[in-house]
Amino acid sequence: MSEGLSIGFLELTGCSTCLENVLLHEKLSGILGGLGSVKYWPSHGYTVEPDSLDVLFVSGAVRTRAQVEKLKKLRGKTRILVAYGTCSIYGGLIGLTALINASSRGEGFLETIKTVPDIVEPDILVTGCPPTRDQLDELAGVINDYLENEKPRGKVFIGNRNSLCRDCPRKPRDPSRLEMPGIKRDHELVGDDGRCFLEQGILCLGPVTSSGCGHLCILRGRPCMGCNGPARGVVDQGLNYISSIGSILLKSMERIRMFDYFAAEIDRLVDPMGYLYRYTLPKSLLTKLALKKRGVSEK
Amino acid sequence: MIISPVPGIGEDARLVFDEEEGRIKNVRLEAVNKLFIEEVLRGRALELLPSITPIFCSSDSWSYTVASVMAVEDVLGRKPTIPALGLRRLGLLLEIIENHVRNNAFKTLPLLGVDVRGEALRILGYTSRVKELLTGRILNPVIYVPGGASWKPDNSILREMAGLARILSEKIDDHGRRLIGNLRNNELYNKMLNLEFSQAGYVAVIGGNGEPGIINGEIALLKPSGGIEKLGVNELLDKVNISSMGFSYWVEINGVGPVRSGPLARLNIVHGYPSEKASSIYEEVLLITGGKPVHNPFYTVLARIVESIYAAELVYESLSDTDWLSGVLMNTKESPGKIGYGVVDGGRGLIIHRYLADEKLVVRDLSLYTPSHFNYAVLRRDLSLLKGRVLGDETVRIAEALSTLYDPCVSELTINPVVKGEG
Amino acid sequence: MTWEPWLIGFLEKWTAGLAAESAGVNRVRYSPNIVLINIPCPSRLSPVHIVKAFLAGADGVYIGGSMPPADCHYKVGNYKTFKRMYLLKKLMAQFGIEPERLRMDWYVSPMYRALAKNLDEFVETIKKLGPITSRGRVDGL
Repeated sequence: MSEGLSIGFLELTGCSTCLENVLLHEKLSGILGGLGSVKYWPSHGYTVEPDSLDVLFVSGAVRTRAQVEKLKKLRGKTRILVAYGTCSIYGGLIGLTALINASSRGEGFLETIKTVPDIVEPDILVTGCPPTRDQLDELAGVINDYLENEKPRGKVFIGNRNSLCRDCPRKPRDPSRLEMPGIKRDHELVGDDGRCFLEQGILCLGPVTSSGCGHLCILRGRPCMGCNGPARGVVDQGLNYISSIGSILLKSMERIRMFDYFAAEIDRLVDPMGYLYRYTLPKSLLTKLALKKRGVSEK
Repeated sequence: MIISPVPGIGEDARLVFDEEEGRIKNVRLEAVNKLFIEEVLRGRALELLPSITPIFCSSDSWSYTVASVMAVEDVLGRKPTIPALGLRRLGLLLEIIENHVRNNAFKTLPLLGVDVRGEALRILGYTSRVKELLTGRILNPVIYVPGGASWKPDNSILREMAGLARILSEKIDDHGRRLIGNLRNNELYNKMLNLEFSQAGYVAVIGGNGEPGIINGEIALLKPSGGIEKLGVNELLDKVNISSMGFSYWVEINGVGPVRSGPLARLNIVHGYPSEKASSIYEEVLLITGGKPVHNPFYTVLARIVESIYAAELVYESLSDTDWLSGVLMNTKESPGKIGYGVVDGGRGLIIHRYLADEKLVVRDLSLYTPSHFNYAVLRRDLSLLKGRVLGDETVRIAEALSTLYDPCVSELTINPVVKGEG
Repeated sequence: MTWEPWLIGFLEKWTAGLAAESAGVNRVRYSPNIVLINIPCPSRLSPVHIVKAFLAGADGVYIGGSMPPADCHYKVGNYKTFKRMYLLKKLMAQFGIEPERLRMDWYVSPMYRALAKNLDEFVETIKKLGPITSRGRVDGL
């Protein structure tokens, strides 16, 4: 079945390191027919654009008009388009530049960072920076299904969309009394005791992030950075997170201390945008508002 | 004539040939896309930079992380622990292997009609598996933190890594040797090796015994005349002369220019490779080059082979005896300052991060110096060798191959390194 | 046609909300540019609601809670509100949206004159800041 498939890789703006993983994953690579099926991958020497593609993996965010055209053109030639990696779906790290007015800096730039679903309709979306082994297992199954059946079952999101906290191995002492004892910045984590990061005052994005990653960072002593995108039901990673920690920050000091006490603690967080939107800035409602304020049209 | 996408570089770059009566008048590599991300790094919380800067680069992303962690560490005034340094070195060695194998097999060699992509992919399978065991993912090595590491692999993981590293080292040695044999009989490659290139300077990080230093050692500048000058990072940045042509690049350092960084630079500067397989392949390569320094950039292919074999040996060596991993993992004692430097000689070349923070540890200013900042000037000069030649398949092929040898990173080129303010 | 700001206010019904009613009963006028909504507790407001209000065209968002803070009808609602909105203001500033467009005040129910004065003041502040979108709004619609 994998014989004669034609596979393409399109790298938009981003580091695109994650794409190689597709071919390094045994099951997925087997279904796709491995390197032999690759017909298009400019950064790896396959520069001739084929007439049609069975599967196209797109990584990176959209920054230039040329990328918009390219993406639309390739969508027309492609049976299954996979938006691959967080950059392509939420903007990823490169999304941090969403508020830079790029169009005023040179020809051909869009006014902000767009994502693949903003431009074309993908058939499959895989988040992650990079997508993990388990996510690729699932992706392999879905692609196999799509290749075998004439009628695909519509747009599919790969990976668990539950909140990371739901099955987090780091447990708070008492989940119903969870309290953040203040705000510590990332480098101030000293003497990690293996408990919930929030309970240690560390800004862990677990509550608002989907758990498709399998707790990679958390298992290695690091708080969640939000790279896997928002969990189900989360409208805006940053804003929903503010709502969450508003409830638990210095909870036991409520009704005891004045507002300025809480303000002083919150002021320790010098860069909320960096902490809360490292991977999803282009999709933030505040970005939308800031762009609207600047007069950038939605289109 | 315009070539876009450029093979091995992609959509964000284009090779522009100016033509006059069928001959090449001028040829240059241009950046099409820009990242602008350095602009959003100003005003960021200092500690976030190690997780953001890797976006600049796909093939050197771990080097960026480590350079960034080191610069943050320097601002905080923390000293990294020995196990942490070992873990960083291990990750960077793996990245160097990937870099060289990928660049040769997927970028340069297909242009010479040599297809070893399948073999290379199998090797990348091993490196990525070891990277995954080391930090959980092939991107964003989150365990590297200022002052140490947040986690270390346990014994069973180490054993698995060591097993993979042994196979990796054997496969790379075999791959490299066969490749050298293969290239010796490659007509186009030999033709390229016979092209006359002018001299250049070289810069690399060198360890105490003249071996490649990566994160451990001094910055050494090899002048075209032959003398080696050791430079402190501050000194180096003071002596840089930068040019801007839509994006910045380094024209010369301390009167020497243009200066090349990366595998060929290291091959030229090192005294040797303190490991068995690497030194034997090094001797073999020296027979082909006929001594050092070598200025023909096409020798980069061979330099990559030597270095990937060396790095794989070191990976296996450090995994087969893991005493270095036994000490304390984190050091949080600190005395914060204002300026911090991080220097990493990664796969593609020398990376220098320089951060200036205020008392709240917010980044006020920063400069990112990347391999492409060095190499762009040399690439420009090397491409000019084609001036006056007939514009045809072969010259285009040479221009494309030359570009891949420097593996110029277009996003790196768009970083503006000029900042020197002291707040 | 001149631009008139359009604002939305969320008042805690037990205190600020009662104050607003008293303002009506006592014929105390305040700016017609602000639309007030009574809610049981402002801590139910998520930052998402606030930003959505801005996106829907509000040039400013006002929150009225109870005073003293510890006197909240639900004990701790004011504290949760304060923490969320304080952090949201910091975040808004980073996005280039004036944090002054979001204002919180605290009331006991007899403070209807203070409420009217604060609302007028807030409308003036927003008038000075101008419309939230560059296109502006017409006739306070």
